[in-house]
Amino acid sequence: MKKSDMNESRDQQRREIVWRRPLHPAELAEPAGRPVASPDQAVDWQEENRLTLALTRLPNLPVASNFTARVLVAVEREDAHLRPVATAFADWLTARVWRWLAPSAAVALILAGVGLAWQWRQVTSRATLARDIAAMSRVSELAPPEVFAEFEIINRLGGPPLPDEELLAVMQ
Amino acid sequence: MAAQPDPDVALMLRVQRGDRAAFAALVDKYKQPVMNLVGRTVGDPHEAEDIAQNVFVQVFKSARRYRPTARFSTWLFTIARNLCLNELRRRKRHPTEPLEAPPPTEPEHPTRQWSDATTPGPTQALLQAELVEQIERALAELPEAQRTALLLCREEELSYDEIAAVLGCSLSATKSLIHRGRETLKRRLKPYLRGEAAGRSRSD
Repeated sequence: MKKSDMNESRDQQRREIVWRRPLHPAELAEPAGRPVASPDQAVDWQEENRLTLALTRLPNLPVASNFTARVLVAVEREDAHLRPVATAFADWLTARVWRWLAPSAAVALILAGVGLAWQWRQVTSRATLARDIAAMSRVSELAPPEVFAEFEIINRLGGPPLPDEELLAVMQ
Repeated sequence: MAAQPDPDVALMLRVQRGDRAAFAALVDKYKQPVMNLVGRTVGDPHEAEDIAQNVFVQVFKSARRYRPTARFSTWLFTIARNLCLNELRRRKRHPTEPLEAPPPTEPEHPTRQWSDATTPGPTQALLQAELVEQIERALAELPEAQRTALLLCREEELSYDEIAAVLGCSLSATKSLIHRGRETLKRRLKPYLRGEAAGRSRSD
């Protein structure tokens, strides 16, 4: 790095210090980054320092003693203003939800009932079918069809059971 | 060196949870620097107080959106500057004539004069007061960005990077603004800065 660049860098660093705070007398007495070629340059640092002092000494602008209290009141007002808005929104949302929720629930119940009825019908139909199949399986236990060709045989087969006369006598 | 945790961030996180006491603490801490910036930007003391209050109301309303990615003071002064810019733009669109008669002084509000020109006493104090008045006037005549940069420089909490963040420009542009603002002030205040009164100002 060239010496002139280093000097400029030191100058800039010093300026950035004096922009924030006044230089101490010892700092003011330090040689600047580059040799002072003229008295005007020496004055420059003094002016910078005085300006910083003057800016630092600017008085604080007046702030009302109840400033914080007034801010808190304003904040409470904002909060109170927002709260009814939030409540109104919640009410609006609830109304919308209930408006479509009840009919939807009714439709769902009806569909569920129809579905269950259909399902029950399916189950019972299968049960009936199963009974029919079971009944048909006992057909083979019947006498062959040739037997029913004889009327007499049919007559004897179809008769009601005769009373048990002996049992009746005992019971009497 | 590890960065010190920002205590204001902790307060602001409490504000997010609805802690009014934390919010009041932030207002108490920053009402003066905010008022100094706003008052010297907009000029009118009554409007300045309204805007300064609105700064903190905006802080409260924006609490949920606050993210501690930067120092709280950077965020706060950004809000303050934006509200000031809104006011300045509003004035440009709707210019108004100032009232000739000053408003009556309210008991809780002292006479709103920026310069401390009422202090009687030795010549030194009068000259100092005159210097203050001249500085206030010179500051008011600077372009807004230069003036804001110089005023933020007075805030020890803000680094040059943070000032740049508030101004919304680069670090080098910020330093250029500060340099040009100071050069203008030095030119305008040369008689005062070279005078004995300025030279006798006790350095800290």
